[in-house]
Amino acid sequence: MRVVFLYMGAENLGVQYLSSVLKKHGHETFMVFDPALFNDKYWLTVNSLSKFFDQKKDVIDKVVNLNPDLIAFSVFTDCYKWASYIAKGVKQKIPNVATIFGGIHPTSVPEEVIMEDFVDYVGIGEGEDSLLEFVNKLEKKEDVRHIPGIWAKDTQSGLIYRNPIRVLSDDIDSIPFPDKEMFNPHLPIKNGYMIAASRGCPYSCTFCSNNLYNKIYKGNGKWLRRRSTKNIIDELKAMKVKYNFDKVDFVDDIFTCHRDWLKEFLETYKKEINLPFKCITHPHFMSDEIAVQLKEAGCYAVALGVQSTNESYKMKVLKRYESNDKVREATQALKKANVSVILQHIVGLPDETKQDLVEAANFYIDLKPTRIECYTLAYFPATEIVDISLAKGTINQDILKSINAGGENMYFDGGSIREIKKQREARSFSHLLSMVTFLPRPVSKLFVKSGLWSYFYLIPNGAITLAEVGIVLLTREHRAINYMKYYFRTCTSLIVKMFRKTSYVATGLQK
Amino acid sequence: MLLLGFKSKLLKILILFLFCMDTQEIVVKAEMEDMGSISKVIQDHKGDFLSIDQEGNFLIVIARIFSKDFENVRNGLKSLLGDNFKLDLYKKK
Repeated sequence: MRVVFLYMGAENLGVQYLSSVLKKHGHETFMVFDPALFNDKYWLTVNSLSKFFDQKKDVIDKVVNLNPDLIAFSVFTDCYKWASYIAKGVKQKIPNVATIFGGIHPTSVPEEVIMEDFVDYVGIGEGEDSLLEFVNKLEKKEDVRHIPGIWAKDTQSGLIYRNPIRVLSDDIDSIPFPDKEMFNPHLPIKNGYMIAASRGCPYSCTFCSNNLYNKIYKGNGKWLRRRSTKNIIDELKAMKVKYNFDKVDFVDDIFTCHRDWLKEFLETYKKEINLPFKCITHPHFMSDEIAVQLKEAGCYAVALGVQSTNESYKMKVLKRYESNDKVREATQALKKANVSVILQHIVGLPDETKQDLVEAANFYIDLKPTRIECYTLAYFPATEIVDISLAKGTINQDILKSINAGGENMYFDGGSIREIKKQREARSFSHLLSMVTFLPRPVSKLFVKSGLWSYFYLIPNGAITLAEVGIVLLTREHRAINYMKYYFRTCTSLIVKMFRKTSYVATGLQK
Repeated sequence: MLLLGFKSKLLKILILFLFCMDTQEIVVKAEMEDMGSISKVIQDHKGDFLSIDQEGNFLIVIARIFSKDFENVRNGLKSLLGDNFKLDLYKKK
């Protein structure tokens, strides 16, 4: 069966796994990738430039030319509108092609997604086994209306088959290695290898998709799973030979959450792979001992979620229980071990006060991590913070509709804040946090104490972007550097091809 | 003064040493959604998280705490989770 996957803006591990499972069972998979420059839902949004580089029509043509049996979208809330546009366009040209929408957005609001004319099937939860059963049956023209993990729509009668979520498999080692080749022509794997050593997160922070997954998988298998050291090392060794990458990026929610596994894994990694790597973890799972173990194995950067420094608020509204002392200890442990620390903060939380921001700024100024990523709260459908904000009156039913339809701004692009005063405050605060990592402490403190920081929204975004580029170059943050290289390369290529009047959008043809 | 400073440092090291010697590893079993409560109690008693696993619908959290806090941790968990948890000393297999 010919299955065309579509994705935009960045690499997606989920799609790579789905493709590898299908290929292992004899299906053909293709990737049509839209670079979606300057509106990539990843980092950069510049509306005027995004229109200039818009490739959606070419994407549709490319899909049509591939003559697919099924087109499959893995959809985050941020790219739901994009996916809808493409699916509509393809359906207009080849009405009989089947479309399936999977990923976190359709899992969160399946009732709304399945109602769309351009959606025939919706995948709920983890997709490997469900998609494989679905594609196998579709190929044999068997009944696909009763597959766990797949909702089906009978186009004749309009009946919806709401099947239950599929029980998770414990053994994630048995899933074939991800199909990296599908993204390689667009985002070269040699620049850095994205990998997950585990799936799931034990925490249920109210703003995060794990909040929803923890609920829907209750009683439906083990959500928190870890791969064996051997399985991960085998993948890295095989892919290192193929792509010759020079860095590894572990994207697990909490990389360090198992002491014995971590020790065994890091020792083997050092011996067999020995490449610099980056990971994400929770302040509760960081100590002097772990920081040293990470450093010795080649870890150059760790990202830690802080989100808010108002402890009681954080506990009540975000369901995050780590104290500021714990964040401080974790950051200092990493700094002592000479590992870069990236702290993540959310601004624009419901009922957040200016005093909260001032206290957070002072906290970060004292701590001085390598970098602070400040995101504006963007609501994701069916997460608990949506209910909290509805109850508080921070959002209303109209905003809820927009959230469920993927209509909110991205977390790096204003998020869900609507009030102009709050938008300015959030922007000023975000600019301030960009600066505190490189400004001398007394200067940062002066900005905060004098209240001057609250006018930082007047600083043009371009100047802040340039400063951030400077920091990225100084700290040699490889993902950001690769991102810049990718933009430069893709822009150049698009401009050249526009002049030649040929389509840029490329496909990874694989069998 | 020098002697006093030295004595105070020595005292601190001695106290730390005694406390460090007196730690134990505990295992908490509770429902998945109770991770927040578990982490709050462990953190309140200056514990270190060592690992998290899932067994069926339950989380298995292993942490290191001061031995003297064992009952305090139990009381803390009880106040937040009622009887819906199990706390034991952890024995390595």
